[in-house]
Amino acid sequence: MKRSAFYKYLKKPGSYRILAGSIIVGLLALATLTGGAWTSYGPDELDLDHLLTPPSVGWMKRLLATEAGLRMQQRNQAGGRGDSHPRAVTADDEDLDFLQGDSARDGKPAEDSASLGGAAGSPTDAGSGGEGPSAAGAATGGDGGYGQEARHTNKAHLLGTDKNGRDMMALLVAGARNCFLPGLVTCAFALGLGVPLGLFAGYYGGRVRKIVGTFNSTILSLPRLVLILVVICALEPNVYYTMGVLGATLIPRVSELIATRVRILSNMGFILAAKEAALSDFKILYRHLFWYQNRAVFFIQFSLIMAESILVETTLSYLQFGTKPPEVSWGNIIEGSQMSFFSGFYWITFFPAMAIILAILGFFYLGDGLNARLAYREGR
Amino acid sequence: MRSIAKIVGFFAGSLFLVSLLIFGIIHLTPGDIAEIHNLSPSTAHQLYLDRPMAIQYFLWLRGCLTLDFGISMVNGAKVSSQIAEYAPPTLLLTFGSLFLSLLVSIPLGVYRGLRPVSPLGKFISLAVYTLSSIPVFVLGYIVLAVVFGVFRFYVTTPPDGPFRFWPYVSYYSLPIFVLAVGNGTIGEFVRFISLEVQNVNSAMFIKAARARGSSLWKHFFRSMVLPIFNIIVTNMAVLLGGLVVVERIFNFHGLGWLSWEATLKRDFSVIMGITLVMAFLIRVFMLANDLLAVWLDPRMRE
Amino acid sequence: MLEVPLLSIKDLCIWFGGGGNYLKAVNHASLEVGRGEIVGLIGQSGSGKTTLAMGLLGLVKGYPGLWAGTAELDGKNLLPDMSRLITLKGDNVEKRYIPYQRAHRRQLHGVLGREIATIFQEPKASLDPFYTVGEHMLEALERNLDRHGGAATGGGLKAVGIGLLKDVGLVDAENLWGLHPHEISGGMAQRVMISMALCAKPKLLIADEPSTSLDVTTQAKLLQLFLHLRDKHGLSIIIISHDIGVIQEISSRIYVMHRGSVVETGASARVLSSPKHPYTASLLDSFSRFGEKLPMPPANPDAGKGCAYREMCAAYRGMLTQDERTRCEGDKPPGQAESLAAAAGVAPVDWSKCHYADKNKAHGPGTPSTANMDRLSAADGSQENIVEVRALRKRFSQGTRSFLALNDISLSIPKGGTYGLVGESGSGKSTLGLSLMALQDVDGGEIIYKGEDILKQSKARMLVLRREIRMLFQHPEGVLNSGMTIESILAEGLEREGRVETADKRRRVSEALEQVRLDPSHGARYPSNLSSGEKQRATIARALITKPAFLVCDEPVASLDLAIQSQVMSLLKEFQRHLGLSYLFISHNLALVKILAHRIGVMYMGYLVEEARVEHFTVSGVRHPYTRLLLASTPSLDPGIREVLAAYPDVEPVRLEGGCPFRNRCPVYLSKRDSICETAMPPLVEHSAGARVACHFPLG
Ligand SMILES: Nc1ncnc2c1ncn2[C@@H]1O[C@H](COP(=O)(O)OP(=O)(O)OP(=O)(O)O)[C@@H](O)[C@H]1O
Ligand code: SF4
Ligand SMILES: [Mg+2]
Repeated sequence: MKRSAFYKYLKKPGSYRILAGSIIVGLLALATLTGGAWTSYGPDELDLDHLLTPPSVGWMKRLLATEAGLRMQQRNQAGGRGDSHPRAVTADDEDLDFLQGDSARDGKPAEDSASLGGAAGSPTDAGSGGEGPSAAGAATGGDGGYGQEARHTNKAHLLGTDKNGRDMMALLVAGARNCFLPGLVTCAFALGLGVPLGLFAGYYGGRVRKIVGTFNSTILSLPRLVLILVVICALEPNVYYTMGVLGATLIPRVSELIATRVRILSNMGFILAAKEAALSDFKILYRHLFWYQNRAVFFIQFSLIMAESILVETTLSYLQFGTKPPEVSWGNIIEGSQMSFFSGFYWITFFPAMAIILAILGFFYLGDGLNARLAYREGR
Repeated sequence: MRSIAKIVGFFAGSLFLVSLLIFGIIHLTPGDIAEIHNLSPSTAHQLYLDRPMAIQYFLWLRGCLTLDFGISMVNGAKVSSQIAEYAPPTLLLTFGSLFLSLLVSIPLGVYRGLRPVSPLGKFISLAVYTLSSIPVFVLGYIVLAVVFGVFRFYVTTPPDGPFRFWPYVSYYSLPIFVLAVGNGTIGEFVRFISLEVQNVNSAMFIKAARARGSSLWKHFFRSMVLPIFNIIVTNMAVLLGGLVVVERIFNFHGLGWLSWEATLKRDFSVIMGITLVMAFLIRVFMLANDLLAVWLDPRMRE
Repeated sequence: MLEVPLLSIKDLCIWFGGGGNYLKAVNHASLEVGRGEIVGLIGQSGSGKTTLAMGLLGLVKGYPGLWAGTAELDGKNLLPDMSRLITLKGDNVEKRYIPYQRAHRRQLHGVLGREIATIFQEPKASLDPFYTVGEHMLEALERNLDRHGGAATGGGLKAVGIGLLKDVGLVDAENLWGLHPHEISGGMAQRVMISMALCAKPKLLIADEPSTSLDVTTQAKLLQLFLHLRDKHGLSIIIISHDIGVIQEISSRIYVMHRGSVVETGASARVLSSPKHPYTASLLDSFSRFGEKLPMPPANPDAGKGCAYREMCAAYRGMLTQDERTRCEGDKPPGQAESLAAAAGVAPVDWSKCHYADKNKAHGPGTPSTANMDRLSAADGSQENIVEVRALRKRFSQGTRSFLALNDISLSIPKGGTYGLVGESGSGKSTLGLSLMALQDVDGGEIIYKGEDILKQSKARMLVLRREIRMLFQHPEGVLNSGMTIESILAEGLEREGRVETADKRRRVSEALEQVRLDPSHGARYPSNLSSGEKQRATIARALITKPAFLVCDEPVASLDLAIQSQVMSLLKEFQRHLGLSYLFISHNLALVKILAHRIGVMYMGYLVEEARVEHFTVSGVRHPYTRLLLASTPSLDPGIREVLAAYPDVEPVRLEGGCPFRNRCPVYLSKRDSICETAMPPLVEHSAGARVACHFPLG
């Protein structure tokens, strides 16, 4: 029976993962490149007529409305707001206290001169957490600084709007760019330094390996996130700094992986053979060891590191140390509307959360699929 | 023995390097530390801020060796007593989630390692992959949404006084769960253990033992102890890093929460102290790992 | 002949794959083993020997899709009910195989390790690195307590274990008891494996390439041990090997396998002296007459009509008449299964899968000989040397202790000739080769190549010299970077010549490929798409492309099959004749070296202990006791040689300090006990024209 080439491709290990991963990564890259060119609203356009509009797609709403959300909506109705869609809610509504965050309620906005980020809440008041896990919400205080009013307010909000009237779709697209680009910085650091260090350590061995090993073990003895916090504490909380540090913490993994492979390869004889053929060290390192033997590892690590950096970037933004509002990151969208999920406005947190999970999953699947393919090719 | 002396020496040396790194990064900060915090000259003197850099480092390190990490730049409390106060719940959280991870991942990993092509084995890998790509804070929300929003039984106040079952369990179980699952720890464990089982399973000596008809579990067990301990140690850092997020979500007052707060307020002495303590913990585990390897693996004893 | 065979396998099939696309690893094979009989199973790698044996034990790797046949040991069925497996259609083989495998393992319970014991090729890897030899022995003994009567107590068990270890020739068993596998040598590990097998007092021992990874001298002692076990314990042994020498020395009957089927069987003496199948004949030929080109076997023996071997069959191509050939082209010769049916269920004892079984003949007896080797007369008498090594010295240190891997080695390599270098593993052969290539620093001495000292040349000069001095390595897989095409690997050799035009490069690459009989189209392939013989030829092309004058060949054929070895050796010979190349040919196999070399040097523990022209290298002609041991260790049927071998003690080689390093294994010293051997290293002195030996009491 004659099978199509595609069928044959699917038969190879890892192909489904590679396929799924590439689709997601492709979408991400597309969003990064085009920016908001095709969304109806820009991320800084405020549709003040439609604050907290739910997604316009009905089935999605029904599917996604959690029990908690329904209960909240019922309460809203019982409260006499009448409309099943809480559209056009005004900011002074007392049920929306949570939007103002703890600090606003506590009436003591951050005044510590040393505090990072003026808008950050003060979490010292531990006792106030009693009624719920409402650890310091972001007091983003009204809509100041988020952009100007939208010009074409009649267009639909496919995924709804947030409390400032920003279009969720536009926010997601803008967030894609803000996690994709820092990811590239991380990769540049981790791979740009990790690969050569690994090659040197594996090839030269001896003292070079010891030095690289000491560097690696020093970095490995610090928890990654804590090291990043130390750097943030010392310097300004800049996404690109932190991504650089993240890259540095990934150097040990990359370099050790490469060094181990190189050590195994050098026992195989072709390095000796290349020396015998009078190739220079640079050519042996670059051509034989890197390009022909380890470039697959390079691409695999690239996608795994991208996944990792998206994870860390969104986490940091969530912790208020990453991308700062009004710049949009998936992490800070979630951070900025922490309690909305429990109040029925599920879409503000749900979509960014899904975006994060999908993006990470996409890179993970891609890397893992490539890895399986490599293992298959090398006959492991 | 020479190898043991070497390992212990390496332990001390790398801790020294770590302390140098932490101190170096903190003192990269632009501007004068005392000015940033409007410290009074006496506090600044207490923190050795009026001395030259090298002396500062030396004095700080000497303090650390006697468990004196200085005082907080924000509220003047002793850092060591803060750490002592916040550390126990954190340790409980960390080891709890380590335990949970092992409990779940050893059976799963062993099964997947022995039957990698079976449908269940394939499902395990897929599930593990998907779970490890959910960030801690997103998973935390999902868990909170389910438990707090739907069931409403979650206790948020830290239990006090003598041990009582329900407050303790409900306070600790969610963070432990989220830390174990959402941080990729379980995923990492399952993947590593199954790989290791696969390796051992295809080893020549297992084949020979099969051909002799002798029981295999003894050989398997002995070969798996070191790798499992090894993966625990390498994941220690990841686990401690995840604390920051988990404790923030659950408003759980431990070291991770403390470091988050210290970073917000730029409380240098606190963050330095916490980082050093965490690094110490990790290095102790690494040391134990190396010693265990020398003890168990005859090939490592030179 | 065999009334009630101990083991009888009938019509065993183990096919891998599924969905109608099978790899027939074992295809309708039948085999019988009598009580107290040693049966040899021979065939080149990939012929299905190991799958046959391991399939029997339920230890096959992977997931066979089809499994058929019967196997009985002493009347007990070894294979489970077949209906569980056979899946001719569908491709999810794993799912169906796993329950079958479980049933098979249940079936074998009480047989594995009790009735049938097995030893493998890699003895050191077969021992668990975490347990000591003693713990291994105790484990095996505890499982078989019932077979050791009253030795149930701990101390008693240990005594039994030590007794068993001594029984297999491990004299120092008490000491060995507490050692871990990484602290003992391969030969010792194999003996430990055997004595673990003996713990169960099994009826059958299956030895899968038991000596392949061991030194010749160790191998010779191991083969003697097998004979001893058969005689003492009445053990039946199946010995699997690709090496005819090993099989012929100890087995009484032989099965020859090719591409999954048994093609010939019979008494060893008959099969080896007058083979009835062309494949056997060609195997014997390549063993006895290196240097003649062998046609390669067809890719798929089952495809097409007629006898699959006719392409490579000497009878078909030469002796048969046109009519007789028609039969070969039209009919397949009956396989074992059909012959089985014809003989009413009794497996044929002396049989071959050939229409004209009497017309196949090997060209000579099954021992390697140098009789028909033509020598370069020019190199024989020539005084001109291309390379002269003077007092070369190299020290290695491992941790605290250090030793001389090369101890003032001096030798000269004739221009246009071959210098053979032999010695056991660790004797320093490779170290010498690498030093000659200036790929390793040395601690003293000179290497004069055409009047220049290689060790003193500038970098630029070395770049030029490296074009003329090239090297062949043992493992072609390792040498060819798996990510590069053959073409780009070859072209790398031209880089040092500065800029070479692309067209010129192309031309020279395909020239070099043609020289080694590879199709220029092979240039575009990756190494993984070449067979091992093609790979090694590609590495030769890699060396030839720079037009060298001198080649260091470090075990160039050690990892190859016999038939392919012969191809490579004939290529090397041809290049010497036509291109005037000189070789340093390094090998642990003296028989192999004798084929190509004009002069041979023997190394032991970093010393050159004997050096002479190739004609001197006969058991009676050599002067050093070690060389004689090497010669006697080559598998052979000659009882005189077994006697020579018996004079040597069965001890491990160790690096002895001071005096002659060989003395612990030297029969002369052991009988004389002369103290001069303990105190002074004998100098290498000339005893007759061109022959040197380093021994205080050279053999007469
Ligand atoms: N780089 C090294 N460092 C330390 N010892 C070494 C090194 N290379 C080789 N040796 C030791 O030097 C001795 C000679 O090694 P060499 O490889 O030359 O032996 P050989 O005769 O080629 O053996 P084989 O037949 O196994 O290839 C051995 O004992 C080996 O362990
Ligand atoms: S010198 Fe002595 S010990 Fe060495 S080989 Fe000769 S006789 Fe034997
Ligand atoms: Mg060698």
